[in-house]
Amino acid sequence: MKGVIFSEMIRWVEECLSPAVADRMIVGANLPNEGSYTSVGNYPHQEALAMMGQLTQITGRPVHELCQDYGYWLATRFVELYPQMFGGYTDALSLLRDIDNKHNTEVVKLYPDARTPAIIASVDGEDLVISYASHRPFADVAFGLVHGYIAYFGQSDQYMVSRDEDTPGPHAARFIINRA
Amino acid sequence: MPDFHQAGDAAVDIEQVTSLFAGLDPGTRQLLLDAAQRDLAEWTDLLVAAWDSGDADGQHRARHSLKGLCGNFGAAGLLALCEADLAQPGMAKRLQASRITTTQALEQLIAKLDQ
Amino acid sequence: MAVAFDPRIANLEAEVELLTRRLARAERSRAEAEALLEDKSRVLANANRELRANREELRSQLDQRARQLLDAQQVAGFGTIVWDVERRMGELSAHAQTLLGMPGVDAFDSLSIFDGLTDPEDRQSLRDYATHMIKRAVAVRAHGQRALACPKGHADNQSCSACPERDDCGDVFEVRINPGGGVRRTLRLRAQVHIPADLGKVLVFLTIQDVTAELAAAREAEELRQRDQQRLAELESLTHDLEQARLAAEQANAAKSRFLAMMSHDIRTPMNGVIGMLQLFDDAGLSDDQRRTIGHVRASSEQLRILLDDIIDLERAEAGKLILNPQPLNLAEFLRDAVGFWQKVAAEKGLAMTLERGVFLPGQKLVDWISADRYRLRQLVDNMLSNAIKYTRAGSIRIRLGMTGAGTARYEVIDTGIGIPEARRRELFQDFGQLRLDGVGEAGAGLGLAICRRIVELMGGLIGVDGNPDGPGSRFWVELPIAEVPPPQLKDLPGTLLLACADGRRPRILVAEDVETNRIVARGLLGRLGCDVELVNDGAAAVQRAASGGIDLVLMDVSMPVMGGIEATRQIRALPGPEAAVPILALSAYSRPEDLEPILTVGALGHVGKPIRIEELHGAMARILQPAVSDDA
Repeated sequence: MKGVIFSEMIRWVEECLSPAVADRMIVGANLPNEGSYTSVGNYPHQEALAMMGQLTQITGRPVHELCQDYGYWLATRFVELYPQMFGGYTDALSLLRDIDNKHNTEVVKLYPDARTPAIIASVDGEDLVISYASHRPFADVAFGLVHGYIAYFGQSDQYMVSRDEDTPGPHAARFIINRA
Repeated sequence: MPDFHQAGDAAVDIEQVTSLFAGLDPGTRQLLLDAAQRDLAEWTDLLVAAWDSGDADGQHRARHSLKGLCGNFGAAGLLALCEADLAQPGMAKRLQASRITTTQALEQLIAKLDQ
Repeated sequence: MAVAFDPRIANLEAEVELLTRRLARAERSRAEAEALLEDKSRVLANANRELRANREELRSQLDQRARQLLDAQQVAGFGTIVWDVERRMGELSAHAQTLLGMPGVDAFDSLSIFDGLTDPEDRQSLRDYATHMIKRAVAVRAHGQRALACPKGHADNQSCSACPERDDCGDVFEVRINPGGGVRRTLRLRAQVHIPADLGKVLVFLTIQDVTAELAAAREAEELRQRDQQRLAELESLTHDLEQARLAAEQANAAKSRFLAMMSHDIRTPMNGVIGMLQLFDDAGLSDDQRRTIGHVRASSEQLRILLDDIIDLERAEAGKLILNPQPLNLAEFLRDAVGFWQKVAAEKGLAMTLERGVFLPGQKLVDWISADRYRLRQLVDNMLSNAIKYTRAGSIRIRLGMTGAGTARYEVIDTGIGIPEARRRELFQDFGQLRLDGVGEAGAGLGLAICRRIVELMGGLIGVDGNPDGPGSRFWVELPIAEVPPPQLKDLPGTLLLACADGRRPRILVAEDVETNRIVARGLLGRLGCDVELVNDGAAAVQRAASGGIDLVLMDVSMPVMGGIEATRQIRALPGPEAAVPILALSAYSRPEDLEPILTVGALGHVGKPIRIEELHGAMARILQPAVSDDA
């Protein structure tokens, strides 16, 4: 998995919780590189899971909640880090509709071997349905991201995101976005 | 009443028949003989029938054709009988008899030619 | 480590540791990032190098192609000028420079450099042409519409390249230039607006071709063509004249023939009268002198008759109207008659006439029966023998006859007469040629040999004369193709000929007769007369068959069922087309005129009695099938 996920996770913990917590998380996860992630690197996603595991123990909050929070925070960071992807969009729905195209193609351009999640956005009547599937169990992060993007565009009042309960996570999920 | 077939008379003219048949190949000779027998019989019968039924036209036609046939072979006896008044008793029978004699004579003559 | 436990210090220490660790992490991250970036840079650098190499490669290929194009142009005689519309600059290919007589001038920025070059008459139109092309190019550039450049409306280069008329595309203009050195050239310019895909420019692409030679050749070709046309017209006129002349000649010839025929006929009629009277003349009660006189008159009239007949025959032969009528002929009998007759004549003159048979190929026997026109063959022999006697004062006449090979017979008449000088031999056989020889008594019109020649030619043979090999005199010879035929089966028809149509064909006879016996009899008789026979049973069938043609004569029985002979004859005569004229003979047992009148009235030509007698049948049919022969006989 791309290094940016790891480095941003640490940053998120440092900013939204505390550096001490971040430190404890890192130390407790017993990481091979002792937490020195660079955004341009590639690292096994199990290490992120390990860190999440530590965080859960430290904060006492469930993993899926932490992932969602992380995803929500990550949305803003993505916009800052990759402005070329988000430029031209004024509406969250449009962005989300294009997400499978843009996101994964951009990633694959730089990292031809990346195994990106399968993201398919389709319109179902008035709803936008995004289905997410990945070999990595980060559906909750994706959920958080969706919320985050909507919030970024200041459209949290306009759109509601619900999660299809029939699709069990965390490897797969269906997000139904409809106008509020 | 004249006896139309005197003893010793040939029913047909030997020279005429010879001259007629000699110029033909054996196959045609047979054809001619068969046709002659058929036609002689047919027209004789027709003449008698026409006379019986009083058909004047029919008689005339049959007589005419029969005479023509006789002319080919020089059948003088039959020719004379064609002209005879069939009202006379026994005349029709004699006509038929003459026809048969004529036909037989033809056969015999042709047979001799073939040898 | 064991130290006095002060919570504040412990916190600080912990914090320092934390920060230290954090720093270490950051350091390590940075180092790793650097390392990774270095890797990436290397990858990028490689990619860059590759790209650059590709570009170089492409560039060099492009150059190569350009060079090839220039070479090709040179070979094809094309030069190119490329005018860059934006930069307002043009480039001249090497060959273009050559064509224009401007070596070394690679580029130009104004059209005025061509002014001095161009023929004054063409200068303005050239400028107009250039202006027009540039305007077009500017429009293309402005509107980005490639289609403006292409008369076919192709909107991109790909369609243009694929277009089959690509090579002929573009505005064409011909201009005369004087490149110097006293040379005058005509150049053909073909301009196209071109937008190279990857350069984003608009170019006017001009090919220049030296068409001086081409135009000169075309002019020459046109001149030649016109000359040919003229020649053709002359020939046609000549042909027409010849045709007219030919027609005139033919007409003249035909007129001559008609005149001759008419004249001969007019003379022949009274002639026949004279001869007839002479034949009837009973010279019993005359004196010797008177008898001699009558004899002379007879002979002279006979000569005249022969002359007239010859003239008519020759005329017919010339007109191609002489037709042979071959029949089976017994050679021995024929020779007996012919030679026998002339032997008597020769004897009267004191000449010996002998006949030698089978002399040319020993062992090759003369055939018995041949197929020949008896009348004409007799004419041939008569002429040659009478000539021999005429021109021989003393001595002998030898007739030699024999086969010279399979199918060819030779006949020679060798006399001991005066002979014929070699120079004059050819004249002998010409029409109306005459041989006036000194010291010879009888001079004839000399037609006999001409007729002989015609007859021999008709028979497919050869005739000629040379000298007597044994001394003075002449040898006349004839070679004829002859074919042996089986003797005809006519034992009881003495001297009778088989029937044939006027053109020699076997006649096809249609017999309509209702009694079968009579049909077979008729067929038998007709077969013996050499005819093909078709049989029908009644008048209706007869009409139907006659209508389809191919019948030479119809034997129509008068009394038949369905449709009788009279009605059938009437209907045949009413047919459209030539079939209506088919000759019809009535077959009837009746012979009284009043009985025959009905069928004769509707068109029957004659009557044959029943029972049919072969001689009567033959006579009646012969008169119809061969009227010409009957006339001569």
